[in-house]
Amino acid sequence: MEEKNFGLSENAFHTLVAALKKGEETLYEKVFLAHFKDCMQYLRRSFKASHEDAYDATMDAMVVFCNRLKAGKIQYGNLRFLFTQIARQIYIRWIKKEQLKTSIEQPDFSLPTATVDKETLQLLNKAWALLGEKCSQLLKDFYYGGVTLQEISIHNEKTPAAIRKQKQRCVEQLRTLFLKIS
Amino acid sequence: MDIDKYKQGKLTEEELDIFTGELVRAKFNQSQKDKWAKKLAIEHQIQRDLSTAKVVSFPYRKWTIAATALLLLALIPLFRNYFQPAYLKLADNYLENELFLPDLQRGASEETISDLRKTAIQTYTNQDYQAASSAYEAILNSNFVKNEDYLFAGLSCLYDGNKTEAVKKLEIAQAKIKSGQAFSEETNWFLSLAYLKNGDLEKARQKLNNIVNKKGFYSDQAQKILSTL
Repeated sequence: MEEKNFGLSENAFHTLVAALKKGEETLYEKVFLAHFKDCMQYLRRSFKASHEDAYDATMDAMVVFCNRLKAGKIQYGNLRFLFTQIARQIYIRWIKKEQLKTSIEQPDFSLPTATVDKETLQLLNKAWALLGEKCSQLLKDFYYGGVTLQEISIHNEKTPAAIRKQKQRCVEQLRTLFLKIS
Repeated sequence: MDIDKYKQGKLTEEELDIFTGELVRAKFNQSQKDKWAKKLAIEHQIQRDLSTAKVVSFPYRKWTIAATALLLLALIPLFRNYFQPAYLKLADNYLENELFLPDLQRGASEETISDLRKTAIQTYTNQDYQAASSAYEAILNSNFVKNEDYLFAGLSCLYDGNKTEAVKKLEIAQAKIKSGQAFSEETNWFLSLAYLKNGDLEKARQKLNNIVNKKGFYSDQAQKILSTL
């Protein structure tokens, strides 16, 4: 059973998920980076993926898998299969985008679609650097960390309404900075 | 969602919320990827761009290599039974540990799956390479031969120690299996190993360089062997 789960026992899996939820990624990195190459090889052998495509698809799978573990959407069972299938679906979606015909059946993991291009990301990084510490923390916690406004308000000893207002101001501030540096 | 609408402030409050979420997640996901990419490169020697993969170098490398080579050449007679070049060790290692097996199910619906082919595949899988070699030889002389049979016939010879015959069969396989077809990369890879085993170092070098340049399945392994040649 552990073999199917990257060598993790069920207890170790729950420890890993708990650590991820606290923002501690060391164990996740240790386990999944060690199997990165296996997943790349699977994509290269099964789909004749190029080295770069196999690398990118596996890297994206790492992000998706990490986020899903944090969100409690992945259960212990056959993590290896699930991980490779996510990488597979990401790769298949790319080749479909490139208009390459494929008859490969694919399970639907409802993967998020990348909508932010490289140029936008560069501008965002510049704008983000100018954003105040409080705003960047709030936006990161809410949008990336999945922390609710209610939880943030308790942590900051403010009312949820005040935090909601603050978040709106931060969103607008980010947009203004984005415009400035564009 | 439209970045221009975002810049122009034309998104509704809900749309702005969704779009900001996408931006923030993209930013931190990218940071995460950058961090992992560094760890992969340092701790696991995996890089996205193979052309930037660092080659270990140090001062006087060429002279050191030349001096080492001379020393080793001088020592060969003393350690003839113990000494084996690194490229041969690597070749043996790949041949022993990355067994490439024929698939009995491939084309199973075709009438060409004869008892002889089954025997060839089974003996090969059981590592009885002498028997596999005979069975494949019989298949090659029949009129239901497939291109991949030359590959496995060559491999049977290679594992059986018949290097010259292995090269001959694998070269035929290479000529028959066009680039991009199934087994094309495997054929090139095993032909390069057969060249090494047979002492055809220049041919091996050319083939390995070709494999590295194509960045196929075996480019990492080929690069490792090339660095020892």
